[in-house]
Amino acid sequence: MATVMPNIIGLILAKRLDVNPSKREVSLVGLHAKLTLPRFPDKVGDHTVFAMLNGGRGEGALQRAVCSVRTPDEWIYRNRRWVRFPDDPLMASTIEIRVKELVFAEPGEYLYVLSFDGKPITDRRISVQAKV
Amino acid sequence: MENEPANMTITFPPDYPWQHIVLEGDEESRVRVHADAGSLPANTDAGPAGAPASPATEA
Repeated sequence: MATVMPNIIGLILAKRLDVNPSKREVSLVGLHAKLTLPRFPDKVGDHTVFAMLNGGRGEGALQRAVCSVRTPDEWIYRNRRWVRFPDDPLMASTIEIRVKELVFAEPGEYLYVLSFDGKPITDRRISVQAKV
Repeated sequence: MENEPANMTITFPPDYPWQHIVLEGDEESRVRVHADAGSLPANTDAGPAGAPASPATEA
């Protein structure tokens, strides 16, 4: 059987990002490999999309958008913020996107896309399924 | 969208060796949850107030 190189998943979905100042630990809690909803359309529970980047410079709009893989040019959800990256290519930036208002109309395959200044940085394909 | 970097780019805890950026709020969703859930397909309205009527292409 032929081998296929795996891909690195650039966007991590989790219940939340947990910061423990006393232990000086930052952790992701409750990783999601897929999303399951009891009915459609329905709102996904609060969750966090996380990424770690470096090498960015300057400032611009950082956007997270969600679309169906069947219609990648039609976002169904997005949020944006103006950000400024540090002038240090070695410094990492962690991105925490707190999602509260994302609604899926139907089950299927969806893309989470993170972009900066209108250009895609990374994306994540995820299955949205009906709870059985 | 705010056009100021302002306080959405924060570093925490203060001496952590990385920049932490939080995106929260200003969420735009084109799909609604209705009381008669299950009867409404996606993209049947023009989206939230202020959103373009035609789908954006920047995603």
